[in-house]
Amino acid sequence: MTRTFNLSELDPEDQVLITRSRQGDLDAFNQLVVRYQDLVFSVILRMVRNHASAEDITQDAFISAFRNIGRMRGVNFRAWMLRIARNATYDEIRRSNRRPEDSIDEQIITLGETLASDEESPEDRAMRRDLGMSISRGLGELQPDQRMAVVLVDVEGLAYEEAADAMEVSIGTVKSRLNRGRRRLREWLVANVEQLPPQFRLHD
Amino acid sequence: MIFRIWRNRRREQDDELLSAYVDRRLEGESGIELPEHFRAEAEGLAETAALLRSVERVRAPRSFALSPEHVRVPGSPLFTERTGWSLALFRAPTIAAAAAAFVLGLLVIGNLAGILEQDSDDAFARSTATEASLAADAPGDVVVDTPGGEPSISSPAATAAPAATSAAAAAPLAPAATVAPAAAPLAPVVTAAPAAAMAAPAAAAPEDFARLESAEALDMAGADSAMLEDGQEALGAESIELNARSESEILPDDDLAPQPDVETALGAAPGQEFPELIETAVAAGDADAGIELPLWQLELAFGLLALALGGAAVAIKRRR
Repeated sequence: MTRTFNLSELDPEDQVLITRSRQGDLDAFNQLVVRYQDLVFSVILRMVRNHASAEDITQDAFISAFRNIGRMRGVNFRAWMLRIARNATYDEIRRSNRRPEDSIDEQIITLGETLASDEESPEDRAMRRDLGMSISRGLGELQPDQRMAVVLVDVEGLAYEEAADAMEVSIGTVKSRLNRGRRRLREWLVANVEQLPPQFRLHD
Repeated sequence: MIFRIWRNRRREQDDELLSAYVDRRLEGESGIELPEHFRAEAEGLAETAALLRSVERVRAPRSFALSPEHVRVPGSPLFTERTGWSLALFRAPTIAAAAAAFVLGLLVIGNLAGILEQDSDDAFARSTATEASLAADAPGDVVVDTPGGEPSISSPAATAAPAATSAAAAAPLAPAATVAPAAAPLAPVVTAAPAAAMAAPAAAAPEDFARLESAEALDMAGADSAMLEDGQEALGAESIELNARSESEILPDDDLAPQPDVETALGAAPGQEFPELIETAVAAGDADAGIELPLWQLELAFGLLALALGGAAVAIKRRR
């Protein structure tokens, strides 16, 4: 299941909503919030790995976006929103690094509610949830830059260009961070093979 | 070092190549054969990427739609509706702090570069001179020794005019800043610095001021002219002579009409009487004397001001 987005495929309705939001229309902005809150929350949760912090950061990110939407350049609201989310998560990561007593919330293991397919059997769903838990632990082993690249491109399915826009780096840097993140994650998954469901286990 | 940079760059290029290969983003992918040692790694990475793509996407636990309360701090529209005056008020501490820091920077640079020299001796001489002029400016008549050796009694207003006139009259002969302070003891009401500044401000060198003001503090009218150095000695004597002439010959006491160049020098308004002119000049001199602070005090004041305003700006930003 590959989920890729191209810049040219962006919904033109975004542009209308952005224009209205710039004029202070909160309802229009809330429509943008509804469109992107799952993506933004997901990225933030996988980055900070703490459910309560992720909720707070997501809310603050949307508030900041509304206040600063007049400064937005270009039309790609999603990449711009992810940029705000990225900056907020980096702040939180730095803050939590200064407070080592703040352990990672175990709620991350469940990753909250997921977007399950109706066609999936309960067994498949449970298995995928187990996989999500293991992957989340593995992502925690990556450096923030590598984690962000892996989450945006592999987990959320953004194109290189959009990920580069969200991370404010070049496409080459995205590729490089992505490969290093994948390599390191693979090493961790191989070393902790018992944490993966049997059918997803990797072998060296 | 160069080898390490080259090796890191090479590794980055390998990473980019592998990523693009795994994501099938290589140009002309079908024709590219990865080296053997890359192929095994690429397969492992492709497997990891496929695993990541199969992870379930997360749903937001609640709606993050904003309410009006989210975007407005109660009782503080300043922080949300920053337009017009509110924007100016919001930015005022920052701008003021920047201005104070700028002035402080100018003072420090000027001090270091020697443009704004003011040492403690200079300040002491200035204050002594001011005290001397204040003492002489006592109410009532003042007994003044003239160079001719004949004491004369004159009122402050009466002596002020000749002194100012002599300062202006002496200006073409020599640097006015040198002459005017020498004339000051004869007319204590018009203090040396303002008169000199009004007569010919461009000619006033700071060193001359400092030296002559010190001499003035020692009651130069009765003192030996040896207090002045070299050419200033002659100039001092000349100016004293001019003062005496101005009193007795050039301008009699009953004739207070100012000369045209004096009017110009003092910035007279049309129809303004000369005594009023002198009072204005004295007032201006007093005002100038009021801002004579030592440089370090100015620097300290602007430094503290910049710190206070900067702190206020940071506090406002944090509150926002």
